[in-house]
Amino acid sequence: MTRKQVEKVDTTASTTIDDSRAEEAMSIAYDGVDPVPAREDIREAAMRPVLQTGKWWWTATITLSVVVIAGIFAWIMQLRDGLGSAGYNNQAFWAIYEADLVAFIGVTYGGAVVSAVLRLTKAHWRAPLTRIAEATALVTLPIGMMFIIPHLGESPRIWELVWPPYWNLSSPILWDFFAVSTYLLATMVFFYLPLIPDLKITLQRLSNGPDNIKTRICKKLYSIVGNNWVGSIAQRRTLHGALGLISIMIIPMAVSVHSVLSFAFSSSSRAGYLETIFPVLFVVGALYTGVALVIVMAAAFRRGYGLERYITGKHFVRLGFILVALGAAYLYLTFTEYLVDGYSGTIGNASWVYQTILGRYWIPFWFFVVGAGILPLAVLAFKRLRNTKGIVTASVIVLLAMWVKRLVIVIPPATEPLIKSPLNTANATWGTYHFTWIPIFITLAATAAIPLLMLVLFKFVPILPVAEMEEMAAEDGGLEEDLSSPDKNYYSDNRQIKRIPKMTERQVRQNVRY
Amino acid sequence: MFATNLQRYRQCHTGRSRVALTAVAMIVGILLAFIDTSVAFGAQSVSNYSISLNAAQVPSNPKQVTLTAQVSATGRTGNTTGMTVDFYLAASQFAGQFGGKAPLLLVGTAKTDASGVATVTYSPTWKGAQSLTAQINDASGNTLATASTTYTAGSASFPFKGTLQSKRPDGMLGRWVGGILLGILAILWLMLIGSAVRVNLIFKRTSHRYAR
Repeated sequence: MTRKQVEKVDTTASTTIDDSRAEEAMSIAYDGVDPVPAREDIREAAMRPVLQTGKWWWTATITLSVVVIAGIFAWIMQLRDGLGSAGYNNQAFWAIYEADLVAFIGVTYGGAVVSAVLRLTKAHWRAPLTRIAEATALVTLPIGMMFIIPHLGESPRIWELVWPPYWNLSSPILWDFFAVSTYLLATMVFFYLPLIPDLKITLQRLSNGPDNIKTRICKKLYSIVGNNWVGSIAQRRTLHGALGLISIMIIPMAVSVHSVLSFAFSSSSRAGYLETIFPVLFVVGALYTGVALVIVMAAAFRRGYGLERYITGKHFVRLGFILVALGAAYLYLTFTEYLVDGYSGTIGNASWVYQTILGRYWIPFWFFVVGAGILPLAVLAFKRLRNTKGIVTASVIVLLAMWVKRLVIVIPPATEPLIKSPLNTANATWGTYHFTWIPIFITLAATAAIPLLMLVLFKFVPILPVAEMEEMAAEDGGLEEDLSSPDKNYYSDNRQIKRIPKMTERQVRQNVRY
Repeated sequence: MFATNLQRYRQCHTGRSRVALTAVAMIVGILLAFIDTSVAFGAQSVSNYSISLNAAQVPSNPKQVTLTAQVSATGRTGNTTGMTVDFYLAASQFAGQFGGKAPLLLVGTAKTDASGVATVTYSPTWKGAQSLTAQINDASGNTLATASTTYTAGSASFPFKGTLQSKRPDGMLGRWVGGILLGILAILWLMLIGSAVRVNLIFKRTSHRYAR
C-alpha cells in the first residue's frame, strides 16, 4: 500500500476514531494521571451501603418484600376474579390503576430534572443527589409501566399490545409504550455512564475487602464495565460529552413520555378527558411529584446511611424552591383547566367541574389543593418551616395529594352520567367507584417496591457519584461546608460555608489514584 | 229486561207453556254464548293475539337470515294489520354479565301487512345457534304475544368491519407519518445505545494504550 493510499484510508475513517486518537494523544500527554484528587471521605461514604449491611437494612428489606408479595397475591386474585374485584364497573371503567400509572411514571421525572437539567446548567450542588435521583427514576419507571398490566385487565393477552403484527398505531397506549420504553433506555444509559468511574473505585474497594460470593460476582461484573476507566482527561472528556448529549436528549424525552401518556385521556371524546391542556398539565405534574420523590428518597437514604455531611439542608431547601415553583405552575394549570371547562357552560364539562369542586368529589379535590398547592408554599414561605424536616414532610404530603389528584382526574369524568342531565344532581345517576383491598394492596406493593429496589441497587453501586463529586470539589477549589448543623435552614447553612484554597494543576497531578 | 219478562211470564203463564219458554230461553242463551260477546254485552278491551316466528336463510345471500312473524288474532274484532313486531336475538355469550340470563338484543322492527306478516332481514354476527324472539306489544308496552325459534348460522359477518377500518385514525394519519415517527424512535434508540457503546470502546482503547 502506497503512502497516498494510506492517507486516503485515514481520511475516510470516521470522526469517532479521529477524536479518540486525539483523546488518546491527550491522555498520553497527561501520562494517564487522574487530574482529580481523590477524597477518602467521599469514597468511604459512597461505599457504605455496598460494604456494610446493618440490621435495619434487613428489617426494611424483609418488610418491604412482604408488602410486595402481598401485592402480587392481590394481583393473582384479580386475575382470578376479574377487574370487578378491583372495584371497576360499567361506569368506573377507569379508576385507580390509571391514576397509579400516571402517578408512578410521573415520579420518574425527578431523575431528569435533578440530574439532567442541573447537569446542563452546571449546578455543582447537584452532585451528591444525582445518583439517588437517577436511581429513583430507574426503579420507578418499570414499576409505573407495570400498572398497564392490571389496568388492561386481560393480562394473558398483554403481549398483543406490543407485538408488531398487532400494532394499532391509532392507539395512544401503543405510542405510550414506545415513549416510555425509549425513556427507560435513556434512563438506563444515563444511570450507567456516570457509574463507570465509580464501579472502578468499587472494584478497588472490593479487592481490599473480604472475599465471598457477593464480592466475587461484583468483581466479575464491575471488571467488565469499569475496568477500562483510568481517569484520564480523554476519558473524562468522552464521558462528559456523552452525558451532555444524553442530558439534552432525556429532557424532551421526559416531556414526550408524559404528554403522550395524557393522550390516552385527551384524545377521547369524554368531557373531562378531552382537554388540550392535559399534556402540559401532566408534564408539570410529573416534574412536581418527581422532585418531591427525590426529596423523600434523598432524606431517607441520607438518614439510613448517615450521609448528612454530603446531602445537606441546603440541598433540600434548593430542591424545595424547585418544588414550590412547579407546584405553583401545576396549581395554575389546574385552575385554568377548571376555569375554561366550567366557563364553557356545556353540560358535560360544567357538570364534572361542579361535582369535583363542590359536589361528590369535593373532599379529594380540596385535599389536593391544600396538600399539593398551599402547604409547600407555606413551608417555603416561613423561615421557621424552611428546613429539611419541613420540606420532607411537605414532599410526602405532595406525593399523597398528587396521587389523589390523579384519581380526581380519572374518576369523575368516568363516572359522569351521559344520559340524564348531570347538572341535576337529584335525578342524575352518577357512577361510583369503591376501593377494594386488591387495588390498595397492589398500589402499596408498587410504593414499597421503590425503596426496596433502591436498597438492593445500592448494595451493588455507590450511593454517591464519587467521581463526579471529586471533580466538582476540584473545580470549585475545595469549596466545602462546615456541616456541624446540616439540618439548619438554608440561610444558616450558607453562613457556615468556608472556603479552602483552590488546588493548583501541579497539586492536581500529584494526586494519582488509579 | 230479561228478568222483567220472566216475571211477567211467571205471572201470566203456567204449566206446559212455562216449560216451553224455559227451553227457548236456554237455547237462546247457548247460542248467545257462541256469538261475539262484544255485540251482546258491549266492547271488550283486550283481544287475544298469537304470533309465530320463522327464520330462513336468504337464498341470494347466505350470510343473511329472513325473520318472518305471522300475527293472528283470536276474537271477533282482532285486527292484525299495521302492528309493530320487534325481533330480538338472545345474546347468550353475555349471559354471565347479566346474572346468567341472556340479554335480548333488538335486531329489527317491522309492521305487519294486511295478512299479519312482518319481515326483517338479519345478518348473524357469529356462527352457530341463534336464539331469536318476535314480540308484539300494545300501546302501553304490555306484551301481547311472543314466539321464539332457533336458527343455526353457517356463516357470519361483522357488520361494521368496513366502516370501522376506514375510520381508524391511523388510516387518516397515514403510513408515512407513522413510519416517520417510528423512524425517529429508531434513531433515538440508536443514539442512546451508540453513546454507551462508543464510551466503552473509547475507554477500552485509551486504557489499553495507557497500559502499554
